[in-house]
Amino acid sequence: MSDSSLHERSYRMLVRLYPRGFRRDYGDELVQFFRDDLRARGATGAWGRALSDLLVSVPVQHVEVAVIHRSSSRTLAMLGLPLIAAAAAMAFGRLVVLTVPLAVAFAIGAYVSSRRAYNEAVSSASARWWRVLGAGVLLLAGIAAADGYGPDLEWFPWFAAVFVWLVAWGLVGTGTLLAVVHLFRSLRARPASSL
Amino acid sequence: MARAQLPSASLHVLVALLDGEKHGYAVMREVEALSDGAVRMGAGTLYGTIKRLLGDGLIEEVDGAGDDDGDDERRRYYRLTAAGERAAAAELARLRMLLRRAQRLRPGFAGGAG
Repeated sequence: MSDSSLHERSYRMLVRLYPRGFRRDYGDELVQFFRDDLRARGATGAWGRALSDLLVSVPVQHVEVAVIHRSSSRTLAMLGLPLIAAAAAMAFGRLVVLTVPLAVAFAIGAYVSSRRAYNEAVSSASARWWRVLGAGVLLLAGIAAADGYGPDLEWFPWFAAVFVWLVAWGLVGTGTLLAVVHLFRSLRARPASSL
Repeated sequence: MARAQLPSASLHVLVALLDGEKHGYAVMREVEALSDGAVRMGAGTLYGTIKRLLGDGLIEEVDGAGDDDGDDERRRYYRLTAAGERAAAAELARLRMLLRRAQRLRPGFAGGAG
């Protein structure tokens, strides 16, 4: 396999992090863009642009899908409260310790208070928990890399940095939430299918 | 009703298409040239912007005439619609007016005649 096709295949795998609709409409264009960039700027330049772009545009596209294509209650269930949980975790300064329990606590509350709406909201999304979680982890890794080894980002507005940070933890919280739900659904489905 | 102001990325893409249809990568190159490299777009950001502009009817997809670099891969080309031209003109006029007002507040600001 040539170097360029290896790069292209690797990038094509990362394109799977985008929401399905966006991938269906623009997946080939994204890969074509990467291929052009690879030719024009070489592997280092192309990957530098691609990774920094993925860190921002993957969460943005998922947020757009959540906001535009779901009802307000679903948006709240899928996105809003995990973000609040992340904000609360930041306020208390115990990020890892608080974010996941708060997201799980919300999952239980949402399940109890609006069981039907919640089930609808997660039914199609829970099986894709790994994408959401992966996007969050990727974003956090990018933030950590930019913070530790990246260029001077003083020009970057603080509110944008906070937003990116919240989105990252929101995705991690949502991904974890979906993973838990997916696990419960799998466990509940198993006895029924064995009958 | 007045249109809400265009996001910076959208305005750059519209301006990049003023001289005719382009495919995505050519749009990105044009945006970089227009901004002296200050605006850098990756594929996801660019196509996210293109998706919104298509949805708003400000650009449209056209059949490409083929690539000048001999690449036989099929690409999608985009061009401005009449609404897109109006939106770009309105946004640039708004920015021009803002600059004039800023220079009235502080003569000589941003290269204005002091």
